Amino acid sequence: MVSIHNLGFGYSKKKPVFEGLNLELQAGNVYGLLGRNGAGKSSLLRNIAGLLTPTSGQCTVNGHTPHLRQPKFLQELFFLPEELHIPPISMKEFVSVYAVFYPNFSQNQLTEYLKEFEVDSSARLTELSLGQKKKALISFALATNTPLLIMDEPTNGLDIPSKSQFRKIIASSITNERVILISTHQVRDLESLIDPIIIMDNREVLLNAGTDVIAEKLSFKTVQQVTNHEKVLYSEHSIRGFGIVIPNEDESYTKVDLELLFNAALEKPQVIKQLFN
Amino acid sequence: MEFRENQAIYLQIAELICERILLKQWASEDKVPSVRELAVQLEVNPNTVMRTYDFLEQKGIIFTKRGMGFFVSTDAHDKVTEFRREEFLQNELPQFFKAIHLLGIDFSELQNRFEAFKTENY
Amino acid sequence: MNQTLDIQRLGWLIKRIWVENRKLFGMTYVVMVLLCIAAYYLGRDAGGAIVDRDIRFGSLIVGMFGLGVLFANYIFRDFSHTPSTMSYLLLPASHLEKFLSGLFYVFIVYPIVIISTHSLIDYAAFEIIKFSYPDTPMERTIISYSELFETYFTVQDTMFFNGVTILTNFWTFTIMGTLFFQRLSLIKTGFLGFSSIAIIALLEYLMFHYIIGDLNNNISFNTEKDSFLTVYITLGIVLIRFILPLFWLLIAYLKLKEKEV
Repeated sequence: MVSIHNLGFGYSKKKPVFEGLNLELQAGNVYGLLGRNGAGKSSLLRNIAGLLTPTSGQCTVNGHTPHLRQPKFLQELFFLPEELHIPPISMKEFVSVYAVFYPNFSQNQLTEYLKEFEVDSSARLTELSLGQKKKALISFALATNTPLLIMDEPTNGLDIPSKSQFRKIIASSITNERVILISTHQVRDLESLIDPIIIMDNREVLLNAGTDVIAEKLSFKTVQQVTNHEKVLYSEHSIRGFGIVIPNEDESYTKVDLELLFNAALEKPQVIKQLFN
Repeated sequence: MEFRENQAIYLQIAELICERILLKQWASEDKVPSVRELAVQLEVNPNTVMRTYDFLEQKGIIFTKRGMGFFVSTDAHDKVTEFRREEFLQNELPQFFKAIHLLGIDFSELQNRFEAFKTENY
Repeated sequence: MNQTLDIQRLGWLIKRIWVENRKLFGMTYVVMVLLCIAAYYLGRDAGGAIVDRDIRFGSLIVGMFGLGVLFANYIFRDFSHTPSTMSYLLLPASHLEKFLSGLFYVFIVYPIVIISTHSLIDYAAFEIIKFSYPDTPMERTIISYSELFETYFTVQDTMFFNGVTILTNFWTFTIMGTLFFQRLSLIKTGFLGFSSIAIIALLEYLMFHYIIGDLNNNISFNTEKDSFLTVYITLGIVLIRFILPLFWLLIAYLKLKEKEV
């Protein structure tokens, strides 16, 4: 659905945010985009959404060129930025104004999500807490049923029960026609939800793979001692010993530990790239 | 659901389903919750649940009826027992042996404790 | 589906501005009406038999100029604050529709509301005074609205229509500035606007001074230069009155289309 070839982008010519970036997103998936601060996650999301114009290469979404921002493209996209714009009206009024722009909007879904999130839809949005605001807009975003839904750090500001509700709602709203792309730092919040995983660093995509492919190629273990050093891609000390990432050689599938995977990718970017390309 | 760290999530979900079958919470020919339902319940990606169902179908524990979803096989109970036995003997028993060897626990003590456990719980 | 201009979508956008701002608009309107009435009340002269002409005229000017610029900035501020710019740019409507929905409020709704409200207050003030002081020297109206259209297009220099000229330029310039500046757009636009006026005035002075010579001494005696001057002034008026506002709007629209956040 989203297809990016050789994409280059930079706010100034001397300092490109990314160069020659390639990425394909297939419908029916909840993609998790990981990367350290300043790795260009937000810039990538904004390029896909058409808020920024690529300096080179192509980016297409369902055949549309995002940066032209034509209504037919915008109807197929909902972008939930990290910093939300909240008009001083109630959720009911908000829906009465904005829902008409989205042809597949479903009032039933919205009601259901708002109920699950326990958001008061008659209160003024500006008077809600940050978490409530976020939940109101997440509910609306999901109810628009756009083929592409991009969320930048959606779990920031959500309390613990809300994070669980968020996972339930996302799990229920993904369909075969839809791509949900979530950028996050809070991998623990979404660990069992996001799949495939995209890791960005140093102006490029290091990895874009489903957790089954990752588990096939890499093992994530806790060991008392790190023995075969040359094979271990990454290890870190924890209370229970060492968390390690090593190539999977015995065909047993371990649970993909996103934090370990992310750290391994940053430490051995070339190895990770070779393994997954 | 809290997932352990040493096993892929889809296998842990498979284990959960097997447990429900062994405990007779799900009888044979019962309809299994849809992929979406279970994904929402467990807060995991629906694709992961789909993988679990594929895996269980391969093992003959559940089967599909066209357009109606997944159902528990007639001989699911036996299949699960067989599958779990194999898994236990292969994966968990060696760990257990290692532990009793390191701690020097006697087999007769285990025998006594096991009998006590059985009378207490079942 | 038309990708550039769809009247239904334009209608939705106009509704959006109204629903999101109606409370603020309502409150601001009440405050403005009260201020205007207060100005009329305090501006009475000669024992209350007449309202000072400067107050009558000035209150309209302040409403149109000062508050009009604030209003134009307010309507387009959706494009000068990063989170709102993002959400508005991605709302499924074309750039032109978004631009026109704002212009609708600045150039149609606002002048109608201000002029009709002001006329009403002015008319009421006149009737009340006429009732208490039958032989008041107060004129019935300050502006002949019927002549508005005619005079505006005949390039005549009257105080009021110079006002309209300045007004359309101020509004369109404010809209442009609001679209260009991401934060504190009004202050930055004001700075840019007034500094360019100062520069143009300086250039004009230098041009007259060095090319045409001293205005006071030469103009009335030299027919050749006089006709040149007439052409220059007429061109200048057409330029400032019609071309310049359209130019600001065009730049504003292009900026909106290319806006990136």
